[in-house]
Amino acid sequence: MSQLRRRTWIIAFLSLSALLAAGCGAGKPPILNIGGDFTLTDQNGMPFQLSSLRGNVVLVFFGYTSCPDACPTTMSKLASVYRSLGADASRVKTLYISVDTQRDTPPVLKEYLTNFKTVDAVGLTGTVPQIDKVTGLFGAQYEITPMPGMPASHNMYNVAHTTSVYALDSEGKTRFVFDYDATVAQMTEGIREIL
Amino acid sequence: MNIHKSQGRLANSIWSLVAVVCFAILSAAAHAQTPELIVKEAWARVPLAPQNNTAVYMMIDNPTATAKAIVAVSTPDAGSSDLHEMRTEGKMMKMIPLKSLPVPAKGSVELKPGGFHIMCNDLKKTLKPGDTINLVLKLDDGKTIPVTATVRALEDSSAPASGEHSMPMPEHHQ
Repeated sequence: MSQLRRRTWIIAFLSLSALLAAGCGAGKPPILNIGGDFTLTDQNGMPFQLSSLRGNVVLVFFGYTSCPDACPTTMSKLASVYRSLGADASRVKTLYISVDTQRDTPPVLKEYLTNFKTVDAVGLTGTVPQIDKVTGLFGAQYEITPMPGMPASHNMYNVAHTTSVYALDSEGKTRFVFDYDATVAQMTEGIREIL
Repeated sequence: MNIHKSQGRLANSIWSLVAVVCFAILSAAAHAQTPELIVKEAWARVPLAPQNNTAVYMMIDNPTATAKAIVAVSTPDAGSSDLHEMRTEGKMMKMIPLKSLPVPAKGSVELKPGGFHIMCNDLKKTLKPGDTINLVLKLDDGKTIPVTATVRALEDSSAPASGEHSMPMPEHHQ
């Protein structure tokens, strides 16, 4: 009889625990089936591994420093997001991954990021296969096209690229893909959900 | 009698001439008050080091009843200046060079982040917020329009295509 009562209590405890766990997870957005760990080179020329940022929300953005419009607009928007987050911004890191491996060397990335001091960003570069592997993980794309009228020797070309911002939770799981048109308020709210 | 008649003809001729001259003057005045295109709020994003380029944005109104097009842009302040459109194709945003930018009759076109812009490469002077870039828009009818774009700091230039405005706190620069 006492064994039966003990078993009943154990089952009740386990059921309650399961319910609580399910309840806690219900508020989080679903885990998206993109992303994964990777290693690239940071703006100081040092190896950087995504998993080193566990415990932080990580925003991943693919761009290139010569970009005249989409990248400055998105980085400025991220600066506004950081300001909106207030003290919580200290737990948010941004990865600016260049898809222009030829021109965006670590020193170029380092200087470029000084334009956005509010954004706690790491600039990343690598070989073409390394960058292709990371864009592949996130389903991002880029395409280098020659600038009309410019000879190849001028080293001037355009880079079409995905402009989404991927938001990873503290476990490195991708929870949001913010499109280019996502507002500061939408991004701030989403990030708060996964902090 | 003949003298009176010829005087009357002369008076008529003078009045006709006066009417024609007045009409011409009024037409010219009306034409002068309706310029080809009106450019407003021209601005450029402060160049982002180490890059030496920037994008220029503006609102262009066409008050006339004739559709116009901008077919070229020149500037003494940059090595090159080109009309571009940022266009999303599939998952990517592409920068498409434009041969001309139509401005509809009695309409307007806005150059803004995420849309149309004038790309200035190889800037010939250091630009900081408050400085200006001088440009000349060439129209399809051969006429030209001078434009002065004011350089804005980053915090003023973060409004994306969706029309959202940035927070007022300043972004710090080195």
